[in-house]
Amino acid sequence: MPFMKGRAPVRYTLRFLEAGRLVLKDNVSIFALNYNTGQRPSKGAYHFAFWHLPQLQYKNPGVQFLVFKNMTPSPHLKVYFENGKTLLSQLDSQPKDDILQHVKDVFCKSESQLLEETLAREKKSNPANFGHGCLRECMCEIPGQVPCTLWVVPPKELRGKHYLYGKDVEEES
Amino acid sequence: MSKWGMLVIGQVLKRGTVRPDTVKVRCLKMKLDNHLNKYFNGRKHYWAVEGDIKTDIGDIILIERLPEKLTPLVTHEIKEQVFKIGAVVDPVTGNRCRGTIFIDEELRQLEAEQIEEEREKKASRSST
Repeated sequence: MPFMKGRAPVRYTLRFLEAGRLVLKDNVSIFALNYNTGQRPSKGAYHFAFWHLPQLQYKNPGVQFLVFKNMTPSPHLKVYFENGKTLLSQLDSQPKDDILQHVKDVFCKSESQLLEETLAREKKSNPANFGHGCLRECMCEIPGQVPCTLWVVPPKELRGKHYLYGKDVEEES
Repeated sequence: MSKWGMLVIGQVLKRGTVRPDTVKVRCLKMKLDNHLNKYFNGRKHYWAVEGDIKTDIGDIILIERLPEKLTPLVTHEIKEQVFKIGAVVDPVTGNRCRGTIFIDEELRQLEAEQIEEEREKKASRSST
């Protein structure tokens, strides 16, 4: 692997970036992390930035990610939303995994929401799909399929009245 | 997803000469180097118009994109001063700090009083 130098060069692989599980909510604008170098309570925040910041930026290109070092004594995270409101999280002596879970719970889209969004995207992009929101609303619109029963009376065999309930049906041509 | 640049944090670089109420702000945007797959900070400069908040050069401020450009250059307005240069306030505790150390307000007050006393003594000595 060329250029795989430095600490934890796995962070510099596309696979690692793609593997990021944190997709921030749509109304998040800025994600500002403050930590201090050489300070034990900042260790968790530092590790969070070390491992997860590139992943976060990769999955959220519209959000500004900032890191402030040695600005304030207490390590914290400040998230700015579209409407101007902010949310401050104290990261003093928090381990990296706790911070990750906290960010996931508070600022990120849930797994179910992400799944919904991927399905919606697939539905839109796949021309073979039909239904509400797709190119074709009904199967009858697709050439080669049974025509719409609104305009054409189907044969006796295809009518549920006859096929399922055995009722008498007059065949109209 | 929000578009980058609607609400950004940046550092004040300089004040406009033609319009002294505008400041040039440097905002950092991470860009992925496609070969190294590593993010590097890139700079984006915006001219922002000051409202009620007066800023110094070096402040870290929050700017918001104006719905309409004020002039062909001025696109943003200052919303908030995040970290004021020389007067950084720790958002968690609300105390003033200098780097990673909190400022002891009492001690400073004491020092200021002592300096004032010495000044008065000097003034009285020189007058006599």
